[in-house]
Amino acid sequence: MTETVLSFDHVSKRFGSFEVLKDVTISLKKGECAALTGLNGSGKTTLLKLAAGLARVSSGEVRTPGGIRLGYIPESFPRPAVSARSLLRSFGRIQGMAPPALDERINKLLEAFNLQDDAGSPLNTYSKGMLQKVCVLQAFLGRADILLLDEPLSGQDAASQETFIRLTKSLLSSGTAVLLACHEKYLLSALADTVYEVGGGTLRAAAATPQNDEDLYVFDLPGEGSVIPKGFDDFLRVKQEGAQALIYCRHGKGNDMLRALLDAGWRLKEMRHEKNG
Amino acid sequence: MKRTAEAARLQAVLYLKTGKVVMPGLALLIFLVSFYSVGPVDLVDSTVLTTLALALVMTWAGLSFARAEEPIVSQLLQLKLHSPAREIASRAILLMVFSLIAALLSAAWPLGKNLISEGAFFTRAVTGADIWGMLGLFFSASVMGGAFGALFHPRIFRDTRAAWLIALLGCLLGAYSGIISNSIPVFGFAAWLLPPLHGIITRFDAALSFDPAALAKTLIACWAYALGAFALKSLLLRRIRF
Repeated sequence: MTETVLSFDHVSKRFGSFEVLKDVTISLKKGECAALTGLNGSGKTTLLKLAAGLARVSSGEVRTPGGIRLGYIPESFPRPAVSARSLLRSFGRIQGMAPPALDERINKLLEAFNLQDDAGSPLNTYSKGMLQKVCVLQAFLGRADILLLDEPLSGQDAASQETFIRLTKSLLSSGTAVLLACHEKYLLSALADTVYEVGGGTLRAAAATPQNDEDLYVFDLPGEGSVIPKGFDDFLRVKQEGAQALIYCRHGKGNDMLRALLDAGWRLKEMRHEKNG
Repeated sequence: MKRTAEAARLQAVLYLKTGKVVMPGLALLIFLVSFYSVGPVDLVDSTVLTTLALALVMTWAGLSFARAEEPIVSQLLQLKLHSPAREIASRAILLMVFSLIAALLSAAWPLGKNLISEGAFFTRAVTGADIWGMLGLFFSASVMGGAFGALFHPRIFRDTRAAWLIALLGCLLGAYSGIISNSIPVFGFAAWLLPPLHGIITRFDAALSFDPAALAKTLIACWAYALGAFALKSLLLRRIRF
């Protein structure tokens, strides 16, 4: 049985007489991604803060196993007059990372998010998108058992959004659980196993809406235990149904993946362009 | 401990970059320059007055440090340190470092002037015990002032103006608590809530040297108050979260 890493047991949260969350019960397992959608002020950030232990529940209980490592991307990030590199280095040391590995990790992340040239500039000179990237990088620095992401893509360019999705997917496949608050449908579609709509203080399970404009490739698996090759950034999600693999890609971006799978002996059964939403 | 110290280092950088340390630092410097402008001065009297000034300046610094706290950074540090208590402790450590710097500066100024004037700046010769007494009083009163000021954290006192007023009033009442208690005896029951500044004044009144017993009582009172304030702040901040 997959281990539950976070559970909300009849949790309510009140601010004065206003009850922002009412009797919420959800759980999150290792390697699972649950997404929260809903209007601004519906309680998504509060729910993430409760999960992080940064806010107190009014009633009920939030449970995590002891010694769990939490990564958190807050909804906003301050602009101190220190450089991104120096701030990330400090955060890494505070997490207990050793300098050579830490510097290597920082360089890799800065490069992945195309921030290496500005890493020495103070954060108070950064644009909103650049600042959001630093906010994301600090959460990806060390290994986390649970990632709590509050509007992680806000203001980021398309390339960084794709990098973010790729990194998050790789963390999910290595067992990190993700609780995500966002509005972007393609992000829900790319990452979420479960989507909850937050509103009126309650959580309602909603379908993970597929992204507008995507291609679906249906393959016959070449044999039992076939593994889908890694390294295709434009995978949105992959499902296995019996002896078939259903691979969703951004529209028009599946060529490399298609070529690699055909070379690996996979057989394309069906391909269609889906417009949803 | 290493990770907590690293968190304290980061908080120091972030606070210093805000420039909010400049005003209390400048106030201390102005006090030292003006108060020690003319000699010779009585060693014990001048030390007691400087101790009171230091407690006041460090209350200011502690309050400004607490109110300059960036909630998002604190949240991230708590998660990265896996403990709110360690994040709060890192700020207490930093306040102690600031206190030590302020105490060393406050001792170095008059002692430096005494050295330059070949021992003529004080009304009597300075002994090793005087220097230790001076440093002990300065450091303890600084930590106490800093801890008192840090109680006025925005999550504890939302209203900035009220926080400043109450902190200032607390220092003044702390300095005059003995006199007020004599006139209004019931005040004595609440006097322990205030920084024990009155004790510093009365214990060394008209003293020619630092009596070890009086010095020990003063240091214990300052540290007990500071530790109590740090513990209370930690307790409140762990209850009043973000």
